[in-house]
Amino acid sequence: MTEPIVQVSPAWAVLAPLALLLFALAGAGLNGALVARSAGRPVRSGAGAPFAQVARLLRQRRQVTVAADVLLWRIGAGGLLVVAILKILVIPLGPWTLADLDVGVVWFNTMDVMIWALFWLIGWGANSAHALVGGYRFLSLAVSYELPLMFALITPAVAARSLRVGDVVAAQHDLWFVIWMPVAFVIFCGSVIAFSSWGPFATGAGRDIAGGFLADVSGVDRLLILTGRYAVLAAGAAFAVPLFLGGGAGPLLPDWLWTIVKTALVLAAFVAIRHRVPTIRPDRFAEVAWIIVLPAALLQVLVVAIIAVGS
Amino acid sequence: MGVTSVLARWASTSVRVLVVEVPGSDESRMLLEAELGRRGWSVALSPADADLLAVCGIPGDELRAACDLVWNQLPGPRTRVSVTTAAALPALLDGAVAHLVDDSRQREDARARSQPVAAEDPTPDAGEHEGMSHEDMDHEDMDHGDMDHGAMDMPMPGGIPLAGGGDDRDGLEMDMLNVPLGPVLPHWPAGLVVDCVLQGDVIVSAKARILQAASAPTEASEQAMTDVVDARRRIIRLCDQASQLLALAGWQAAEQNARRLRDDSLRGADLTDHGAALDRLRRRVERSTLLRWSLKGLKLTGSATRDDGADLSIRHRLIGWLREAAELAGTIPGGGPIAAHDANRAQEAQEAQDALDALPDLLRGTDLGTARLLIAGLGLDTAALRETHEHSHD
Amino acid sequence: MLVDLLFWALAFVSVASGVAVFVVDSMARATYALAVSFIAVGIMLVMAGLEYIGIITILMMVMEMAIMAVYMVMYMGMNPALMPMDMTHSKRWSAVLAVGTFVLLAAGALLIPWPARVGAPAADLTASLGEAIMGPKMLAMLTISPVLFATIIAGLVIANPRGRYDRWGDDLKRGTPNDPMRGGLGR
Repeated sequence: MTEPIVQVSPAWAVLAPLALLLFALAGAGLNGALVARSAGRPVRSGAGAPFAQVARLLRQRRQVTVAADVLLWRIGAGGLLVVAILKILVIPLGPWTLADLDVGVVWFNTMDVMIWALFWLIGWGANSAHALVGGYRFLSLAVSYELPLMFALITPAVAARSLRVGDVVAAQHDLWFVIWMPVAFVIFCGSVIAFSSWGPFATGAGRDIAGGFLADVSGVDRLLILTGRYAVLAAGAAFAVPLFLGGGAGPLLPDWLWTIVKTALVLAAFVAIRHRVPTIRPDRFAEVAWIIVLPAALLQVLVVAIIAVGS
Repeated sequence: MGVTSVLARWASTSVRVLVVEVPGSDESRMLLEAELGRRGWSVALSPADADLLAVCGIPGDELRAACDLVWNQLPGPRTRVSVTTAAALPALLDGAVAHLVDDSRQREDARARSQPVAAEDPTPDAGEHEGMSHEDMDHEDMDHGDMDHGAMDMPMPGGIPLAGGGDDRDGLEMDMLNVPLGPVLPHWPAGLVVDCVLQGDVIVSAKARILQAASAPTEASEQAMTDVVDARRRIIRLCDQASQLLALAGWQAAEQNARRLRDDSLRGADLTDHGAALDRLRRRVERSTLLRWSLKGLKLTGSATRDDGADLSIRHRLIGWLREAAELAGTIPGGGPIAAHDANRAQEAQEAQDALDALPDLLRGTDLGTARLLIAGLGLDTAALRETHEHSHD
Repeated sequence: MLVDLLFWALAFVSVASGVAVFVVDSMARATYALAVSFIAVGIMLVMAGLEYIGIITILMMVMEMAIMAVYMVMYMGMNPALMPMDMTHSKRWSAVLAVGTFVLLAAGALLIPWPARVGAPAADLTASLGEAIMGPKMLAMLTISPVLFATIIAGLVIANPRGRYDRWGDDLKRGTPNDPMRGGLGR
């Protein structure tokens, strides 16, 4: 099934953000449906909730707080969506990719690091206590998310002996990486969720601090942040496919369709987890990340490296 | 005309409501929340997130001032309602929607607002800036860390003075910021204000006070309250407390579950199946290892607990509430006995007073997230407090 | 042509945001202006064919700046972090130093008789750069880096007032550390 991955004309880049937005919308719709179901309302009304949200936020005026750093605030709000779009440039859709970078895996990681700055800027810009606490909560845990993520990203690259995403896909011709590096896969998924400030890791926007970095944003800014969050989550789900799930490999359907189906499934799992588990309190996570998760990631790299060198 | 009206119509299907509860109006709030749930609306976490400000009950002067301040922070389109009776609730919310989608009125409102809480407004967040030291600094020649204090007049951004410094719990010098928590916060006891001194997100010291309802008791809510049997009232209250705590712990599914059980009891539904449902929820909470781990070490100490001395973990408190509610629901299938009313009230008032007194000690040295969980775990009944105040004044 | 334009645009952005670091009056803005400058430089490196180094520059610098903003705010004594403030110190001497350094480097770049290129660049620039830097000195790097790393950690452990000694007692034998707040594993 696997063919060499070809770089398509940059003109196709117009479609990438559209596809990403559709995934973000689907994620938001699923989230709305799950909320509606647990509240005992018709699921369909919940699935339509994102449209109502968009309409609402487009109508809403932008409120500015006292002595806000508006420039940095807006950069933070708009940046999430940009970062998510940049992330998907290196993800192959079946046989096609927009940017066949030598170092696609590192590119993805770099965009994750951008998110450190963006969430902090959103919290900082508002100049209010709860928003600032939210921004700092995210940034102070970002190291705990980032290091395990880095090693989780490196693991498939070690097995494929390349940082090029296409090579990583090709290396899974016989066996998907998720099967023999499950620890790295789980850590990758957890980190994607954490970097989207979502589900159990959504403490930066927690209810206990009145919405955290979201507390003072309104109107279009809020719309951009919420969309950006779903887009980052979707981009992370999409990256899991070439990295661990064999890219476009699969029976019957064409490669590009398999990529989309797998992405949708991973995204659905990411969205659903929010409804199943409580938040992980921020002051309790760092120790676990450093004492359990990071060594587990390192061990996984070691095992994979030994197998890769041996074979 | 087309696009704006379509947007308005779509937007009106998902209104976000900032709920302010006046002490003693918890039933109005719960009825409002139930109605919001039916409509698919949701509760806003902050003023910037809200279209509708709903004040449940009739606030006293201080609380009214706080509501007006918050009202000014709603971005708009915005509208506000005062919820005092259960009967008119659907009509009230329909009216609010009509006001929200009315573009011409909203434009008028936007024009009428002075500055949208913009810079140069000297006291936008009243209370936040009181009692801080004014220390002007000269940053022009800051060579080698030499600083010149108080020599020059520096314009304060937005009129906000600098925070003072002080040693933190690790012996480092940190800014001390005065931040009042409440009275308008989601999942927060009605009317409570905790004036905190923060270093980072750690509370250095805290003082608690209650902003009361208007002094004349609100007939309507009193009336609604006495219709409900005491045991049922207790179940409703326990479910409400549990759902607040679960919301702060970030467990949405369990929170919704507790809230639905609360709303069923509130509606006067048959309680026969209720005990079993509450029991299932309790077991679910008990089984969650993630919740156990996440809430570990959160304890109510000292006089905050009923039996003095013994610490009570927040998680056990939560499970205890659900167990008590399940047992109560088991004993009263249809109606049920009415417990001795006055004795209960007096005891409740005493408990609430003890909890309030214990707050400053309890919160010292905790971070904001922990503090919120601890306060939710106290299950502070601010309405009961009011009665003690009135007794003590008599 | 397009590539040239992009290069000059990036060069302008990197210098302009570098200047902005000293002109803006807020720590957060200064920090992130520096980050923008580094991002522009990183993209220029990518354009020069050094993909790995360019992208890793962006990664490291954005991460560093995100953390630096926090430290700047934290360590700026007497809380003017949120105040508008001048970002420059010792203006005269730093100006002299900066101009002097610039003249020296620019003169060097222009006046040195650079050798003409011999042969073609390697196919994989990153790999050959790695070989060139690390190849003969791998053993030294393998020794030095753990020692450096251990030194940093040891320094932190000893200097931190609520570090290992404070928590576990002088002889590290105290049963439970005396912390105001426990971590996720109860340590």
